[in-house]
Amino acid sequence: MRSLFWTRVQSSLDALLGRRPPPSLGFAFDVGTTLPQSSSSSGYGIREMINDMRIVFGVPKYRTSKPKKVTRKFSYTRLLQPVENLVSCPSCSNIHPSDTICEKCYEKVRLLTNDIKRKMMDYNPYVGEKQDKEIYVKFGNETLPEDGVVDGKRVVELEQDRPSWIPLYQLARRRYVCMDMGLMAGRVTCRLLSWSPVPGRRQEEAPARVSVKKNSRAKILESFIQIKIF
Amino acid sequence: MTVQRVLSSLPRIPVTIGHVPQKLKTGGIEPSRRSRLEVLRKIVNRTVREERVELQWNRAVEARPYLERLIQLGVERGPLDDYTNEMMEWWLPEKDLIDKMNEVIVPRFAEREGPFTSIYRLPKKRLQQFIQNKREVWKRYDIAVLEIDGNPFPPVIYDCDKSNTLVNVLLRDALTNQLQRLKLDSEEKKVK
Repeated sequence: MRSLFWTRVQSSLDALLGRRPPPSLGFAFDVGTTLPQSSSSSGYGIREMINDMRIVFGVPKYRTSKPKKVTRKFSYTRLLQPVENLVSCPSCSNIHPSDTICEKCYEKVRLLTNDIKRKMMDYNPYVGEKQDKEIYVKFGNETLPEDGVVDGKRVVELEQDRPSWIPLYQLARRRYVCMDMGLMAGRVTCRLLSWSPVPGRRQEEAPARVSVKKNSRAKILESFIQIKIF
Repeated sequence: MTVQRVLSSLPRIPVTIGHVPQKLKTGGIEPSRRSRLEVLRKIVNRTVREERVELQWNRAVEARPYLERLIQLGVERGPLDDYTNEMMEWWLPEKDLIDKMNEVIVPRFAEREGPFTSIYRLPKKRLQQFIQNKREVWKRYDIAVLEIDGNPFPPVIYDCDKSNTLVNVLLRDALTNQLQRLKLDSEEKKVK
């Protein structure tokens, strides 16, 4: 295609220049007067040449303004923004945005959750089975407690052992008994005093629960010492 | 009329209500004003069934107040109430879940104040959206974990294991040393 174009340009130039000596500078201005002659004589003249060269004429009509150029090159979609709200997780030191939870830590929660969920959802609603009981999760290395924790609950048994990162007792809303040695010196006892089996608003109205609380405090302390220290 | 009377008798739900209307487009549900409720109902139903679900962040934020209000209706007005029953029947199309709601979830929160649900945000994740003519389309999603409190699953946020920090290691050694010394002392006394 391209070669054809150039051969035609070459031939048109030949047609213009070949018979005559190279034109002077002044001759360029009165090309128009010679147009009909050359076009009529050779069949390929300025008009045909302009038709062929028309492809070159597609040029910008207006200058692109500077703001447009700058926006095209450096707009916000083209630049890499620094992420400034990154924090590192205190337990696994994985880096994550500060408004989210740690993805690595959640991953193991998710896997265990799916295991429990699979067992929990293992019922057939079409034959009248339903989730009508609370669920107690029993890990492989545990035995069922006999102090009335399980009564009336459906026991979901997992084959794996209880992971060390799951807290045994829940203190209050989203606070857990801190099972570590550093707090053993004095603070744990304070925290355990505030432990209640069902954290909530109506504790004064339920004296039975309070007595349970006092009994279980020693048990927790015992289990605490057994698990973590020795 | 009933709705107005019932809702004015209930306390405010202590959860964030999203202030930006969210587009809840879902495949298989024709987009309309009604479809928004259908999507929300699907989410609420699934959350009651599974107790902890992972969703797109905006959907979880939108669905959470509805779930919260449904539990609150059960807690405040009880399962014998007409309006509660109507709401349970509409929001939980799987009928075995109405029993779960009345027998498990509402008694769980009988002595508790709200919020009855928790929401956590996960970092943005790039996931495959669909495959079209062997072309994989990926998208970055904001993901939330929505859960009903008091569930049997391990807690999402837990105190990290500090048993291997320097102070704890030193303390553990000191205590074990002390224990050995005590044992030795008692043995010596027995020998004497």
